[in-house]
Amino acid sequence: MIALTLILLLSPLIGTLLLLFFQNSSKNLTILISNISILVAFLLSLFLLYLFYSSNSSSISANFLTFADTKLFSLHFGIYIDSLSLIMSSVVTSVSLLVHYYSISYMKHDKSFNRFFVYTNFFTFSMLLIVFANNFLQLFIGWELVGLSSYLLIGFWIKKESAIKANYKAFLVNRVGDIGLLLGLCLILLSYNTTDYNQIFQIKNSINLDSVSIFGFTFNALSAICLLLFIGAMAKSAQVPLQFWLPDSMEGPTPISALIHAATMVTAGIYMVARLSPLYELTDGVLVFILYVGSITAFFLGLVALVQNDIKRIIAYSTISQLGYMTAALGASLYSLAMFHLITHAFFKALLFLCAGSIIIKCHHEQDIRKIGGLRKYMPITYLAFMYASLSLIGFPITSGFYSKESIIDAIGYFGHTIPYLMLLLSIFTTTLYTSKIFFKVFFGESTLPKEEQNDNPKNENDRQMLLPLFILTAPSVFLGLFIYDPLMIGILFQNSLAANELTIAFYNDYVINSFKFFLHSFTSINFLILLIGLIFSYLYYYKKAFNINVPQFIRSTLTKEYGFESLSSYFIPKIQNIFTKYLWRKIDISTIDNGLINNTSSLFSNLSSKMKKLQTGFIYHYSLIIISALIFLLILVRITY
Amino acid sequence: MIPISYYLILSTIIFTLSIAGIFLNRKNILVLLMSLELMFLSVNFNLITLGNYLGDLTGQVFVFFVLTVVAAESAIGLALLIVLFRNKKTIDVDDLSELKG
Repeated sequence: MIALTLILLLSPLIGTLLLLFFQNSSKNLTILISNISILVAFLLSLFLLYLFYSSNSSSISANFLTFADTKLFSLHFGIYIDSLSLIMSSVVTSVSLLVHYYSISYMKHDKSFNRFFVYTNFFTFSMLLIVFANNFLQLFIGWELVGLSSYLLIGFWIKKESAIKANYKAFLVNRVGDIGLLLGLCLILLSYNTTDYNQIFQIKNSINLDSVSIFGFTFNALSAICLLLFIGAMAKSAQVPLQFWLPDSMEGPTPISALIHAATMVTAGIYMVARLSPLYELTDGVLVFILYVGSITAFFLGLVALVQNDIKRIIAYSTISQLGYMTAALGASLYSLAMFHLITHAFFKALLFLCAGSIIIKCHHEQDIRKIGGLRKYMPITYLAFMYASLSLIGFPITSGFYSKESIIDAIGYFGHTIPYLMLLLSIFTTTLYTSKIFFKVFFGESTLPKEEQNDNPKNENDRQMLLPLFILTAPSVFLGLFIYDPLMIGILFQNSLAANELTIAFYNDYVINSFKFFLHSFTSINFLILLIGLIFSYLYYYKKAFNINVPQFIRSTLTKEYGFESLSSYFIPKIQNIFTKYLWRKIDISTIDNGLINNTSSLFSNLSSKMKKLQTGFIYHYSLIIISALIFLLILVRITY
Repeated sequence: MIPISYYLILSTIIFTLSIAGIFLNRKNILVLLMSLELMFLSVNFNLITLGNYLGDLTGQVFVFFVLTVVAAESAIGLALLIVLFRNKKTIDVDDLSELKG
């Protein structure tokens, strides 16, 4: 089992290396290598999942390579196999496989075809490295590699200025989070002397109350660790206030938005917190902080999506908002629900993005939804797939999104977190609005396609390679929730991987009872009412255009500017950075290093030598005078000494 | 009998003159060579005087060797001088300051 996991983990890496090796060979070879390496990983994930559940084995942690071995601690490369990591790896590899397949068609006209697959394969490897990490160092390495591949892929079109700015921004914001993660890692080493998950989970209880002192401030070690690690998760999973890189990252190719910036990479933060749930369970304050960060993100960033017009940016804001739901669930100790929403979200959000990619290709890279319309007749398959994904996103009963999202909202309400509950409830309404906005504007109304492309021939839609992943992804987007809901809630699915199972089970026994009853009950709940109001409202507003709302200018501009984050990231931070770096350049670089050290040294020597060379007159009698006076001087010296 | 100090004083005077000739001579390399010659003579004079005074023949014999070396040296010096003149068209000391820093 360990060997199989190792093959699963390394297969995308081998794919990357082979792709690099056959850089200049044909497209077919590139397609073959990249897709097969991911296919192997996917099949192994499924097989291992089956093996794991059928053999009822417990979690396995194995070390392979040793980076460092000191008396205080040792650093290893290892893998951690349990239900959580196997489910996560199945999600990652399945979405990755479909996106790879989709990209064959999407990227077929691109000159850097090979480079694209090198990056995506490498990304899949880095993500699996995080998923299977059994210690914090490996987690950190995977974390950085994921950041790197994200950087490379956002700036994939290296000649597009906005893409370069966006990847720069994404990288810098992620660095802020990485510092949190790195400090957390240091603190763990400092207080536990190990980075191994299992060892930390075992000894956590005994030193829970230990405090660390830094710069004279005293902290509870565990709370400080959890808070620092969560800062890392905030940057990666785009939570307020480190969320502003994600909308810009839509500059990358659309399959990448589907793979990295919706389905997998951004969920790394959620996964990490879930993985470390035994630690987070011991800290009350940090969990409350996480809960509020999550619900604020879910509500306020959902609002921003309403004023956007770029199809990909709207979906990106919706991703941030949905990640907020997951974070809120983590904060309420509902780890299995957070993971559940992560899984369903990965599928329906990947589907939404792939549909968006299909639309964008069809409309010749037009992304502004005001300029797209009436595609229903001409893209029937994309239309249906997009509809199912949207229904899942807004949480329409029976879909996957319904089970995961409504459970989170209801459970948070059930456990009495009133303010987060209200925010999450309200954001159902905004979710419905922005989803319908895309749906109605893109698929209904006047067709914007050129005349010669306006025919009903279904073959006129994008080629099969692009449509097949849409078909396949529709299934989990709609039905996955129904199938895994019951085992998930009573704790069979994640077994002992996640802490605080009893909360979810209590909620299930008391409130849900079973998936079908939850489905029936939802029709009488306030959630459904809000959803219905949202749907009717958007039907009238976006489709019928029955009335017009004048949004006050200041609200519109606040939302467009993303509550000032827009100007913060595009104006203030560059400005401060500019002043700071100019100061460094003038004071440190020019004054101290260039003028101070280098030029002063050289001028010192040239001054000295210009004084020294005056001794060299070139006249023989001067030299002989020096020789003879030196001789006399030495003779006198000898005379005095003896 | 002339006291030995007279000889030594004469030798010192010649030596000092030759040194002054080297230092103060601003014109001519030929004079420089002559001053060197004079310096050797004063040293030889010292050797002979003190050899005679101490009754040791070594000093007087050594003078022959010195004279031989001096002859060779001035031959080389004059040869160099001629080559120098061919190249520079001058034997003025002040013009020969190519090593000036």
